[in-house]
Amino acid sequence: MTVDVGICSTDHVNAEVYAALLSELPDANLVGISGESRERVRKQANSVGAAAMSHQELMDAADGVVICSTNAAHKALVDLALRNDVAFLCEKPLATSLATAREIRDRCAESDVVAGMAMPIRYSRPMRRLKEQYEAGAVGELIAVSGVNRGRMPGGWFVDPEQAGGGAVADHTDHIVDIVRWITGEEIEEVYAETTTRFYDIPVEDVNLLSMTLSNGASFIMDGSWSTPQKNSFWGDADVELVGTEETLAADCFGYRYDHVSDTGHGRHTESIYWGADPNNALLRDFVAAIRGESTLAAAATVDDAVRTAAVIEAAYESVERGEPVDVDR
Amino acid sequence: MRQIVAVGPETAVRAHVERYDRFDDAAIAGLVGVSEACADGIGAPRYESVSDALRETDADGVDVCGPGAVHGDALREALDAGVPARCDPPFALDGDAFDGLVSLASDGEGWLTAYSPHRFSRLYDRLRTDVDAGAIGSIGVARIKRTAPFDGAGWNSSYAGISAAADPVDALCAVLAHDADVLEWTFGAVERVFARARSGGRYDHVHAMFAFREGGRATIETTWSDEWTPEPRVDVEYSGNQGRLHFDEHDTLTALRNGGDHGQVAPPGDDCRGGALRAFLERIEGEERPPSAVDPEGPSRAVVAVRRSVAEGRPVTLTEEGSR
Repeated sequence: MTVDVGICSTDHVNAEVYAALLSELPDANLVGISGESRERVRKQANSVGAAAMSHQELMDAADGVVICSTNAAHKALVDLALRNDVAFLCEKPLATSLATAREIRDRCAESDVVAGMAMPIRYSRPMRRLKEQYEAGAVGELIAVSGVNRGRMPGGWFVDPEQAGGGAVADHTDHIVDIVRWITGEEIEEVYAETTTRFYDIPVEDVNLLSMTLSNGASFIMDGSWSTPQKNSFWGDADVELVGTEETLAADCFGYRYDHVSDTGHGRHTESIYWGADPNNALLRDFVAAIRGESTLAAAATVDDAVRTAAVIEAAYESVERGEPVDVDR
Repeated sequence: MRQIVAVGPETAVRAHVERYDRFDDAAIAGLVGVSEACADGIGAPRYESVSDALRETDADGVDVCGPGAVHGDALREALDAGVPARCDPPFALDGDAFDGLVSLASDGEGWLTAYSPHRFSRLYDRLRTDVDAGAIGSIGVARIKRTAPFDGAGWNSSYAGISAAADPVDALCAVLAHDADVLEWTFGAVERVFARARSGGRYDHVHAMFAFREGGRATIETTWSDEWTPEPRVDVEYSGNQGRLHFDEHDTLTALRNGGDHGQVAPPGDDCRGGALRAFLERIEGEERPPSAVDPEGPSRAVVAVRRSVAEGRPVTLTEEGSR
C-alpha cells in the first residue's frame, strides 16, 4: 500500500530536504505541499512533481504530513492534523513556550493519530551505535557528557523571537539534549546558560552555551551556537562524547565526509560532502511505515520528548535572566 | 651566567635542566624536590628546601617546574628572599594562597611570572597574531577540548609536572590553567566563570564556561586520567563574526612520523617550554623590575574562580580584588 504524504508549510529550511526525500520513497506518494507563500509553495511543489495546496486541501489529501512551519505555527497545524486524523512529524522545537508544548502534548494524548518529531538524529547510525555501546556498559558509570550542534545562522523568521521563540537556544538545543536523553535514559535536572549576540546584528542570541546536570549526576556541556561561518565547507555539526569511569566514547553524526575543491574560474570554493547513511531518509521511511501500520515509530522522538526539551530551553532562558543555574521543570 | 634553582618532580626538573643546558647564559645552582641520584645525574647540588638552596648559593632565580600551586612553599620562600621566581599556572588554587603570593611579591624585592609555555609556541603565537590582525573579527565563542595527561614532550611539553597534583580537581585545574592563560592572552580578561567537575574511575572531567569582559564567551573541557593514558587529544576553535580558526591534535603531530609514532621536531631549547624558560632568563637579566610583581594574575584568578564555582555550584564573577 502506498501512502499519501505531504509537506505542511515551506517556512522551515528543511521543507525542501524532506520534500525531495519523500518524493523518492517507494512506499510514499508525495501528493502536495502547502503553505502561505503561494509562489514559494508552487516552486517547491513543481520541483518534486507535487501539487501546491492550502493546508486544509493537504489534510484532505494526505495520510501523513511533515510540519515545517515557523515554531509559533506548530500548535495550529498540529491541531489541524489531529482534527483531520492525519499522521504528522513536527519540526523542532515543538512550541515557542513550555506551556504551549504541554498543550500540544495533551491534545495529542487524546488522539491515536501517529505523531512524532521531525528530529532525525536518533536515526543516525553513529548515534545508534553509541547508544548500543552505552547500554552494553562500555563507558562504565557516566561521568560527563559533551555535545555540539552548531550551525550557520539561518536568518528569516528564525531570528524573530515571536515566530521562533528565541534564537540559537530555541533552534539548537533540541537535537543534542534529546539524543543524550535517548542514549543515556537520564533526564536534564539543572541548566546554566551563557548566551549573547556576537556573530550577527540580530534581535536574538546567536551564542548558546549550556552547562547541565543529568539525573545520575553527570555533567553535560553543550554548544549550540550559530557560530558556523556562512562560508564554512559544511553546514555545522552534531557530535556527542560520553566520558565514563571505564571509557570515553564519541559519535559524530556527520563524520563521514569528503572534500570537493572547486576551481572553475568563479573563485575557489571548498565544499565538504556527507556520504554516510542519511538519517533524514531513515526517519521518513519509519514515518511512512508507521502510517502503513508496519512500525510504531518507536525510534523517533515523541511529542512528549519534545516537551522535555522545551522544559530545558525554558530553563536556559530563565537561567540567562537570573544569572544562575535553574532547575528544569520536568 | 644566571644561576637557577630548579624545584619540582624529577621528570619535570630533568625536562627543564635539559633546556637550561642549551642556553649559554644559564647554569643550575641547585635542585629541590629530587632524589640524590637524580641530582648526581644532573651534576648539581640537592637541597631540602628553596630557603636552604638560596642560603647556600648565589641563585638569580627559582624555577618551579610545574604548576606553582603545587609548590606554594617554594614560591613563598623565593619571594621571601627577594628572588625572582617562575612557575606554570596556576600559582594558586584558592583565594587565600592567591592573595598571599600577590602581596608577598608586591611588598618584596622578588617577582613571579606564571605564563603558560603555550604562549611561547609558534602555533599559539600565530593564532594570536591572526586574531590581532582581525582574521576572525570579534570573538564569539572560543572552544577548547583537551584530554590529558601528556607523557613525553613535543606539543604537550607545557604540561610537565602536573601529575604531582594531589586532587583530581586540582589536576584538572592545572591543565585548564594553560588554556585560561592563552584565552586571556588572546581575548582579554575573563569576567565570569561557571564550571562543573566530576571524578571517578579512570577519568576525571571538568568543563568551564568563561565570559570575557569584552563580551565573547569560551568553553574549556578537560578530561584527565592519572592512571590510564588516553590518546592525546586537543581541539581548539576560535569562532568570530568574520571567520573561524581551528586546529586539532592531527595538526600538531603530523610533521614527523615514524611508523605509528610522532617525532618531535623542535630541539628542546626551541620548543614552547624552552621559550618560557628563555623569557624567564631575559626578565631576570633586565635592568628594571617588571611592572607587575605577579605576571599574569588573571589566569590563576580564573582558576581560583573555577574551583569556587565547582564547589559552590554557581557562576563566579572575577573582580579586581579577587574572585567573589
